[in-house]
Amino acid sequence: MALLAAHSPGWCWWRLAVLVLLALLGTEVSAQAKVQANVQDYQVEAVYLFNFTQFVEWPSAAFADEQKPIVIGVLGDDPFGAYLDETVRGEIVGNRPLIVRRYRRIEDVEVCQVLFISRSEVEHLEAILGRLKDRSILTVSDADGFTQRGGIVRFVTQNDHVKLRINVEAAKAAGLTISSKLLRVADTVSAEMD
Amino acid sequence: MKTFRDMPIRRKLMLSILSTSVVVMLLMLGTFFTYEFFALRLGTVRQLSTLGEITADNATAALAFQNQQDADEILHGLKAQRYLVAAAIYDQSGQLFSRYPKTLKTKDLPSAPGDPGYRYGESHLAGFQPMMQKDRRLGTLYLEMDGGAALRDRLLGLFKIALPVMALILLVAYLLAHALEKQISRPILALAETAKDITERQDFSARAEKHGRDEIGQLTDGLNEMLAGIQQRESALDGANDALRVENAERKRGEQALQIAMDDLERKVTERTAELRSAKEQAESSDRLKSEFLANMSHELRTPMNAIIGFTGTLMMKLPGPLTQAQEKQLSTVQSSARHLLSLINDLLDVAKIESGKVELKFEPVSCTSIIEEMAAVLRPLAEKKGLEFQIQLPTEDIVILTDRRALNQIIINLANNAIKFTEVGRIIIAAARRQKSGDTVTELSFSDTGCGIQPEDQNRLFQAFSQLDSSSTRRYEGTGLGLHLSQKLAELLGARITFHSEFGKGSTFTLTIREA
Repeated sequence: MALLAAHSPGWCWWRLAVLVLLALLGTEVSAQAKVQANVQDYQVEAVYLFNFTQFVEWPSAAFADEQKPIVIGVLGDDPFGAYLDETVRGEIVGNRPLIVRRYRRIEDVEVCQVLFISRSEVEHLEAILGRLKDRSILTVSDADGFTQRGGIVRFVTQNDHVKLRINVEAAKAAGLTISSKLLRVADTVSAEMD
Repeated sequence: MKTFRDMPIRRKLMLSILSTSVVVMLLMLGTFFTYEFFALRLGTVRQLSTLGEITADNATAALAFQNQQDADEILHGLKAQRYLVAAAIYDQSGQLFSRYPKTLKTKDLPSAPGDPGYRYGESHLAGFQPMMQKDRRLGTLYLEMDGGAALRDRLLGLFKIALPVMALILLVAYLLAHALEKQISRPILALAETAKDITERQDFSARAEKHGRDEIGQLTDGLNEMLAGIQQRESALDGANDALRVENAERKRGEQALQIAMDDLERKVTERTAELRSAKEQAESSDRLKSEFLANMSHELRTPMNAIIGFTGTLMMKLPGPLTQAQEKQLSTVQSSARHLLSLINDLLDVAKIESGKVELKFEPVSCTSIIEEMAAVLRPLAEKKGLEFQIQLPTEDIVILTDRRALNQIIINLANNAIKFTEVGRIIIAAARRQKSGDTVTELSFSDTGCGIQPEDQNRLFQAFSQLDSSSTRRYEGTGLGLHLSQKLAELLGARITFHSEFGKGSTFTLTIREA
């Protein structure tokens, strides 16, 4: 809620008005609210995607050279819309600018540091993760059982809060160094769990 | 309380050292605490800043991934920081994200993050720490610390350490002072003691002990030199005194000798006096014996003389028968000689009487005028028979004196008789007068003649017995030679005196001076 309060007063007023309207409309309104909540979750997740770049160290081999940007990729249907682009615009992390790339298929993925795998790609998850196995890419998804299947970070929504679940072994295998601070705020899992 | 000035030097030194120590210590302590105060302030800031940096860094992920629980845990981890009173995390938009302690009300925290940095408020140190992750600011950490309490506790702690250290330092200073003070005070005290001792016992041979070559040592040397000077002078004085004593002894000895000599002299004088007295007594007794003998003899002589004169007178009166012219002349010679002899015997008798003290005097009022006129009646014919002028000069007022009539009469007759006897031509003046002489009233009877006078060489023995002026005159002038001697003796018995004035060949004046009783 604190994060929501951070938005502009105008937006807050509008949100309250919508909530009051939804409460008057009953179950119809309830379903509508769920859609709204999902939108909010994706906005948070977009910010988290950006924030990962600050808590994760990639091996130098992950970049072509010093000036190359950090690429946040989205594989499959993009749930963030323009919000992700807005979030990373103008940001520089460790002298590197950030850019967002969207991929339809795993084969399209070239140089990429963070890859969000959309729910639309759940069926191909094994193949996707298999392909990415030897590459230093932080794989992120909100799909169920993502970390058990070899993904590195999963967004878990609990009590309207987006939580993190991290497969440390997978990260290690990908040659990534995840900040202990990040690990502190996340649930860490091994392949057998979940 | 005693003033510092009057304190014993030991206490003075102790006090000086200790007070210096205390002052130095306090100054050091003050400096230390001042330094510590500022260092602590700075240190506290640094400490809080470090704490803020670490906490901010730790909490970045919690902020970035909206994990309030983790943020709360991280802030809760600050509870070990004793003086931390508040902590808070603000997110990127300035909204309060987490706070510590949980009981803290939102209104007690800054509503929005301020400028980075820490600064002191009234007593609290507070500040904002940007929460950075890879050069990106994710939020702001707020920390507030009770810096005053921290400072106070720290200084108190230091003081707790400093106090025993201070006590220890004082103790050490005291012990050191005690030890050092002795180094200074002992020589001074010893010096003072020696000086006192010397003054009390007047023993200038004593010397102060020298403990070192410092000022006290110099003082000791000075004192010793002075003592040496005094001692020298003292011994010189003693020498002079001894000399004086010897001199005195000698003088005493001299005095004793003198005394002995004087005693001797006195004894000799006494002896001589005794000898003289005995000699005198012997002489006097022999003189008295002689006088007694003469008195007796005169008496025995007078009896036959009376028979001779009486019977010669009877013959001369031709009562037994007529006498031839030759017989008459011879009888006259016998009579005249007998009379002379009798008169001689009478005079001798008188002299002897006087000298043996057998004269009895009867003092009564006697008129000088009448006694002189009586005498004149007897002697005037005698003088006129020799063709001499006989004058009597008496005062108009009668002179009455208390004396023995017979003796006075005898003296007057003797002196007048002498005047007539020794005067061939001229006159005899007999005068009486009363006059003042050296405070006393005296009566003077003078007998002046124009006779032969007395030669100066004879004047000394004029009043001696049997001394007529010259042997030739014996024949010319009838007399025993006892007259003046007798008169003088009588005058002395009466308390009078006979003096004379004479010019040889021109005359004499004899004066009887009677002092009135």
